[in-house]
Amino acid sequence: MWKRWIMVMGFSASFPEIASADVMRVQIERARLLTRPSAFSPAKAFLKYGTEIEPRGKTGAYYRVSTAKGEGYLHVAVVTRQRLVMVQKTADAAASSEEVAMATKGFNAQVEASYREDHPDLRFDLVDDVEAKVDILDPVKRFARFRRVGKLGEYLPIPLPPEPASSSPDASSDEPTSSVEETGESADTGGIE
Amino acid sequence: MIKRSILRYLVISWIVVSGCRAAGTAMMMAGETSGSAELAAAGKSIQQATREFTEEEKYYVGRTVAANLLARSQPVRYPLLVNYVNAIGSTIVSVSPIPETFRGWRFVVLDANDQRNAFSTPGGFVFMTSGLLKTLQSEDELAAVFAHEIAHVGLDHPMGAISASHQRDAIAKMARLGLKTAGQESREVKALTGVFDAVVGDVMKAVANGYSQDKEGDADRLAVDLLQQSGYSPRALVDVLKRIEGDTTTHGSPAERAAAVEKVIQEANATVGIEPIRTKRFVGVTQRAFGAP
Repeated sequence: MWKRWIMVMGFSASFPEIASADVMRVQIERARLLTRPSAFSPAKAFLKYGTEIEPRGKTGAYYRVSTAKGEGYLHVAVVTRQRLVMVQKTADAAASSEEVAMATKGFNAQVEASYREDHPDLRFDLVDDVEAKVDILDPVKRFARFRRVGKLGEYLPIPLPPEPASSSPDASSDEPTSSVEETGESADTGGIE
Repeated sequence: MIKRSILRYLVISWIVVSGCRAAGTAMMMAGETSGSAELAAAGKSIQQATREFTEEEKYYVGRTVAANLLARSQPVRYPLLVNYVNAIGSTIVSVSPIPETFRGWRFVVLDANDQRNAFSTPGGFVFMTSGLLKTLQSEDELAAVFAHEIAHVGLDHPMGAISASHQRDAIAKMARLGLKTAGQESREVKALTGVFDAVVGDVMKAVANGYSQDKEGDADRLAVDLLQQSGYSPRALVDVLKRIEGDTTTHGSPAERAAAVEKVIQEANATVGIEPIRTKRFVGVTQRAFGAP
């Protein structure tokens, strides 16, 4: 038996990277699987926490990946090589023992619940309220009109207009252009509802 | 017995040679391959003991720091303003080193007219006081404040404020917790809660009191880059700093920072102007939220 241990460990010591292989896992609740390796790319699907992926290439800050939901790109910040314990969601201090056993072994809802017992003055209720108020499932999609009206992100006119700082640049004729009036926005809150 | 001694010697030597984290991972693999729960558990323990905080852990630290800040000031709930600041923030984070956090970025205006400050926490909660917002004169200036705060999170400054001893303690306790079964966990969770308290204390202190001059400078430099990439004028950051020049801030001397940012903008040849439509909607939203000045 011990010979097998030594063989495995000896092999991985010779090739340190092989020990962790190139399997990565989604480390956020819901990662956007992008159609293009760019900041304002639309999402074609969402990958759940813990989803395993094997990058097939890298373009800038994006891994090219093939998943059950199709091929696409993931930002490097949303994946990790660390092994993750699948989380049974529970913000409830009275979680069942099974849920507790499945919780992440670190700072998690269970630790927060324990902490809250000793700090009743803190406003976790307002944190929950803040989280509930803003739908952030896909902020890139949700605020596309805001960017278009403000000539931001993918709607930034290119080539860049020259300074001076306080003057406004003319819109480039071949770039997406829009005005508040064109989009039917309220004149003083363009792109925001 | 001899075999066990040789094995132990080999394992220890190998861990030293190949690096602890890779060693832990490989021990887990070896344990799983050979069916040795003992070896797999030891590997997991080593791996846990040498790991960094996960995005989920940063989120829970950030949530708690946010709960502290919200115990001092209520959030402004006016929906138009809530959407507006989140639209601006979302545009900037899209080009940042961390476009997506564990449960998403949130941008909040705190109802605190007597303060001019902004804060950001791990996990992506970004706060700006209404006092500071009312000082600003354009969407680009608002974006500049957010870009600076996003840069702090992107550079991991809040988590970097955790003392080395608290960090070691936290990781070690998490490693121990990883080896417990459900029935054994409650005592370990209590111990982990203690170190969570210490970690949150370190982060809260940094978030509320500000960072070193070097870190503020780094955040300003990254903010210039984020503003330019997202389409906002980097020069708005200089304008904000000049606007708060007389303030005693938690972010270093505004005048010195403005001069440094000006230099960065020149070196980077950053050339994005301010679109009038953005300033117009800034005025429209803030007047609806707070009334005409």
